[in-house]
Amino acid sequence: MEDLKIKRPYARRKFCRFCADKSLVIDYKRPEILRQFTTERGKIMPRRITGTCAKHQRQLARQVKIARIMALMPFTTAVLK
Amino acid sequence: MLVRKEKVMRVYETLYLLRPDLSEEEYAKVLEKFKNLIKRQNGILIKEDIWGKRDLAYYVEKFLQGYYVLLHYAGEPGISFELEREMRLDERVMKYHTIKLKDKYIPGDYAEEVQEKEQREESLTTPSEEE
Repeated sequence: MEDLKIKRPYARRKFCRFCADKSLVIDYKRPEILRQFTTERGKIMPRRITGTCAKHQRQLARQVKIARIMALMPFTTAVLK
Repeated sequence: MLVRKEKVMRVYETLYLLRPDLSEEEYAKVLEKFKNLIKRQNGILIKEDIWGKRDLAYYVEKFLQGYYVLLHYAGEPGISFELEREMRLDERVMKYHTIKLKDKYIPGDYAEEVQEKEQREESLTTPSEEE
């Protein structure tokens, strides 16, 4: 912990954006929101990066997967481009 | 199937994706077909949201575009199976996905939307969607 503090003195505490902003809905029909929580390759970003709480991360993962099925979001971008 | 004494109505949401190379009349026909199917299954259409043509995230049947339509409806448990079966058989439908929104349909909850829908059918005006 001490080392970390020295290296990154301004490391801000991450927080769950869905808890903070109730208007931010987790819905497969809103891929523009879900996209913020995936990498540019389309992978779901881990909680340790985004700071999303466990409850919302579960919902998020599920909705991303539905969005992928409906071709609203990519499974991967390797084929295109 | 389980035999129920009491008829339960559930609320479902189905998003389906049509081929992008159909004519306007063809789209209207397909939309009408599924709406009628819901009616025939004694379902209630709550909302129809036509997203229209959108870019897809990956190739679907060699297309990179598709025509999305969102349906909200209430009906007895078998209704979504019927609808999905029909969609599976229809070549114009590329993809579909159904979600159960509510276990119980309470008519009053959606009264406004149903009315709005009926008005739209009568006057055939442009759909006004509240988001």
